[in-house]
Amino acid sequence: MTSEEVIGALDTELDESIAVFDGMILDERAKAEAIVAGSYDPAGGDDGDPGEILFEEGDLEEGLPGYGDFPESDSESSEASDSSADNADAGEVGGSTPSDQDTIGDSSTAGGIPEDINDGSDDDIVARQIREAAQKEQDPVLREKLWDEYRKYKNQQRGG
Amino acid sequence: MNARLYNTHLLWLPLLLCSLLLLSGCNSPITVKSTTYTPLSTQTTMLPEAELLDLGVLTFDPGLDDLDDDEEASILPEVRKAEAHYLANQLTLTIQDSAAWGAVRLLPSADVITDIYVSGTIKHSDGEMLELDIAVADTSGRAVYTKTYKGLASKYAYERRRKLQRDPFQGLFNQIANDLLIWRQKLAAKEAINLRTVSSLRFARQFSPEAFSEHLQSNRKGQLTVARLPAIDDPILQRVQSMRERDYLYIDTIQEYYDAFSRQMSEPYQTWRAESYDEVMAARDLKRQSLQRTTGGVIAILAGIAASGSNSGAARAGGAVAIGSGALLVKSGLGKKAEAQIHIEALAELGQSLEAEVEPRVIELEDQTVTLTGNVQMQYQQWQALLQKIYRAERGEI
Repeated sequence: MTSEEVIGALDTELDESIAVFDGMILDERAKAEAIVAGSYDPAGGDDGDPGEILFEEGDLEEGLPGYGDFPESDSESSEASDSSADNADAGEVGGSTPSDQDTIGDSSTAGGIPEDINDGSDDDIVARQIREAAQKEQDPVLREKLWDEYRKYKNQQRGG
Repeated sequence: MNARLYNTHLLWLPLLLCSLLLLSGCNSPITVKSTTYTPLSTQTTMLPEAELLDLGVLTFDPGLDDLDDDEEASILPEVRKAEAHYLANQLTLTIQDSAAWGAVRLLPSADVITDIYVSGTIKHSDGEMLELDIAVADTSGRAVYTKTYKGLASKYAYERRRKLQRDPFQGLFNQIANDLLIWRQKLAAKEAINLRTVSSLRFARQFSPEAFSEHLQSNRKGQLTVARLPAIDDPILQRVQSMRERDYLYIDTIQEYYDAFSRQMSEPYQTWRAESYDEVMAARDLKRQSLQRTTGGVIAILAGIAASGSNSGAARAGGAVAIGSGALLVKSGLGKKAEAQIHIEALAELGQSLEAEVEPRVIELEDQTVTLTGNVQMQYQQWQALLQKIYRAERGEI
């Protein structure tokens, strides 16, 4: 393996980890919004999956505005990252509406699993994190990115 | 004989006069307080993006370590802890409104890297008075200034029809924001840009110490200075910048927790403040009356005793009256003291009621903050390890 290939593999791992991070942050933001809306049950957080109940109750139309503008997970997206940072305030990020987003990525719905994705029984911890983040994701664009990351990671696992 | 009579008069006459003066002053207001409202100053000219400094307000120190006995009896720790978050968030929002800064966020700890840090300790807080010790430092570790702010709420601040318009101590938060603005306006552009560079290099060093440990150095005072700059196209730096974007997202999320907490706490807290204000004022008024009446009564009794030894029948009669009046005054003073105690107990009950309401929310907030910070730190460690491998691979070491 050349050093470029090693760096490429490490960059992929880094991007996947960043994608997991983005999913986690989205979960937490939804949780904060649910607390304000009074729909969050903190007792649900003790069973090891605090975000689950939120995404069952979440309403895309009134929550998570503009999350489609999160930074790209690949390393070529510094421009997108800059714009995201400039508009980092919650609720003011991005310009795509839910209806716009629905037309972009409709291969899965929040919590649903695309047809080409298996049951995940052979997932390792990283794959499981990406999978969970994708399943919980409300934004179709980011959800597709997470599933893409999942596919890439699984293919890499098989290839490796 | 005349000399002795004169001396006796010298003793009881002033005492009687004093007691009469105190008696006449029992119900007169003597407290004068100023509740001048300081408006918020704002930055009128737009600062270049490169000079915009991010500012972090750290959650306040509740100030529970230096309480005197009276305060320990009346202050409930959970209420103070809730105030430490709530008041710091009020200050954060106020500083944000001054339009002189980049991102202004409430931070859970000074481990978060930003350009300017504002920390505070609550010295006193009830419905009537708020006192805060504020310290400002920059990202290089330089202590900029410290200042104590004290504000008194106007009773009008708690009128039902006005209470939602602004915080009763908004003037105090404005003063703090205004002082920061004055300091910022005196800061040279070059210094502001330098502070941003120091923050960027601190962050880069945290994630890739192998690549960036030599870019910053500490001077004799322990303050960081820029030793050298990395190349703009440094590939590790580009990756680190991507991570910093995520760090901003983390901080924004924490800010949402605090905003949610503040919104939840606002109504019960403002109600507590309004009721607390009434009780504090009533207790203070009664304590003052108690002190005046007890002191006046004692003086009247002493004057009466002195007058009872006089050769003058009129003086002896006056003395007897003074002793009787003095006794009544002392009794009345003790009664006022007991009444004041009722208000003090009412204050404690109000605090307990608020405590029951906010304690679960404080626990929830701290739990969320600690959990998210822990998860974020785990991710950061993963990124640090990957960056280390990438750095070594780029140098041909693996």
